[in-house]
Amino acid sequence: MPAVADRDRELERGSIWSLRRESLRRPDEFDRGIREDLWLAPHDRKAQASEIKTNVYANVDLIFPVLLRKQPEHRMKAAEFYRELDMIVGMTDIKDPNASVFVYSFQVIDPRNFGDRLNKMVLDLVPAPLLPEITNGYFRHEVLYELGESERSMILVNAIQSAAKIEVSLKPPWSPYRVCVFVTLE
Amino acid sequence: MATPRQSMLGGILVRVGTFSLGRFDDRLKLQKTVYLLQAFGIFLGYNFNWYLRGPYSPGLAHDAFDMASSLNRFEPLHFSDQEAERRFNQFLEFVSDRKDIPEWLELVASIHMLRQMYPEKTKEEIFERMAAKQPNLPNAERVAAWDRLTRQGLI
Repeated sequence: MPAVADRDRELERGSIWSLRRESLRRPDEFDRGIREDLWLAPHDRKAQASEIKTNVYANVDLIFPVLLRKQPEHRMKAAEFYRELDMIVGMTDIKDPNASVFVYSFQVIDPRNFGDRLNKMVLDLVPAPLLPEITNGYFRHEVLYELGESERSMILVNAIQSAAKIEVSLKPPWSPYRVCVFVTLE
Repeated sequence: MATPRQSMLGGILVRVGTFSLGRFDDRLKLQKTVYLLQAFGIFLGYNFNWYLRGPYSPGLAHDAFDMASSLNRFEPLHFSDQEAERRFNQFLEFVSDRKDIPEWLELVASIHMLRQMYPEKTKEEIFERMAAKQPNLPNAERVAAWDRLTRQGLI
């Protein structure tokens, strides 16, 4: 423990001895790894525990996923774009306000007749209220995070295969705000 | 069935070495390896907090236990993006000779995290904190770990 903990960045949790007792009384409130940590900590009644809650990757220059790099434009294969999108969406519970990364939406900007290219059978899977947006190439969190996995996958694969250029709105870990990146699909 | 992120994690870990979850040190090794991988810019979306033994991600622990029976059975993942593959190879080189030493992994991951958290603190202040955490490690180990992180441009 530092002499003075920075309260904005570090939360003092109290003595390890009392935390150990708490973890026995209410094990459900302590993650398994943390319970182990507490039992393996020094058996010194003065030992203190603290928790740092921050985004430690804010200053890391991300290389992968490519979509999270500090670059405004990317070129990639449609299958790669789908894999990265699927992975980034899977990184976060959209309802978690502390999550460090989200995809807010994406907009197909090329071709202009995108809606005509979509497979009509796949469009049958789209909930009616979302149909106008999707045929205009706009996909937001209802599709990305809330649809069933198989429907979402079929809709997104078909959409991405029908697109040539996409604008993605996302929040990478290195920014507190949303950023837009353009992706040209090969 | 593994999620896309779990598949990615499994495919990466088999390229790093053999992992298990049986003992505390095995789990510590997994946690610190993934922390360092993300510090190299290969980001799998795991958020790490600071606990007694340094960076720890409950989300990673959850995924690892989910994948426990198949942890070493994933197909090795090779990045189609050349820059990502090159960076991953730098990570492999960074951990290569020490990847199975939990104390070393804890040391380098903790120094990195403390440096990110407290950029205003001096090297000596960070060493002081690490000495309280790992009192049995000689200071030369901390110096070597710091230099290794510096050479990679990580701190």
